Amino acid sequence: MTTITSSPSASKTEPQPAMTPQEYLAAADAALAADQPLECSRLLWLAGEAAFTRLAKAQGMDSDDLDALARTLDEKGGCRRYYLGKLGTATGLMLNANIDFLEPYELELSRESIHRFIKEMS
Amino acid sequence: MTGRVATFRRRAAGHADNARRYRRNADALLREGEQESAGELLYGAAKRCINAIANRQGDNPVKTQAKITALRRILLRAGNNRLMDGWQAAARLHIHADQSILDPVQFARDWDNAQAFIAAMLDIYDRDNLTTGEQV
Repeated sequence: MTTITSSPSASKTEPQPAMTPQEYLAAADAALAADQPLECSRLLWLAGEAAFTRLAKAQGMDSDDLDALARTLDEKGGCRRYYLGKLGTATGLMLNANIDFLEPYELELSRESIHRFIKEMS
Repeated sequence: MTGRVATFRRRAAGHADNARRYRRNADALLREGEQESAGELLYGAAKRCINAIANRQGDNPVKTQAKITALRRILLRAGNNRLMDGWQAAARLHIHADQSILDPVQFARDWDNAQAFIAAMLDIYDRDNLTTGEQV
């Protein structure tokens, strides 16, 4: 069983400055254009994570437990698994960055989803 | 209506019945602690939801990529592209059955998202049938 509880960026030796969700998206698109799908996955995850962190801050909520955050946001907004779905897709990208299981057309679906999410949150 | 399209439409009800049955069986398997098998069966239910609606609309996607193309059309017509995340959750349950990629929190999240996808897709299927005056 693969268990990943922290961001893949935590394993990087060089500290990365915090970027906005939109900046992560642009970097992800550049990685994909450079034929680096796993790096693209990692950056898309970071875009999603940054968006959730911003949401938590705006709502005065805890961002340590993203699952609880997404479930609470869905409950508060009367959404049918909207935030939980986005968190699932973002997490899938984090897993893909480490395990490489998404086909290119599946990565494209996830990329589109995170792009829409960030746009809707802006 | 061509004979081929009529055949697809007849098959649609069978796919929807199978989707409901697979989902029930998946729930039962999960209660028994058979997480991987339950996830695989829920993925099977999600696939059959796509085929039920696609067949109902005269399409017959066989391979996974064709199912996704069909799903894009279905969601565009239904005006709900948010369901794509639920499909991807179901697909991860399928990968998890082979590779154990999900931790318990991630599995629970994808399970809930896949269940929501199946419920919404069966709603779309039922609405399609009601609007065309056919039996659900």
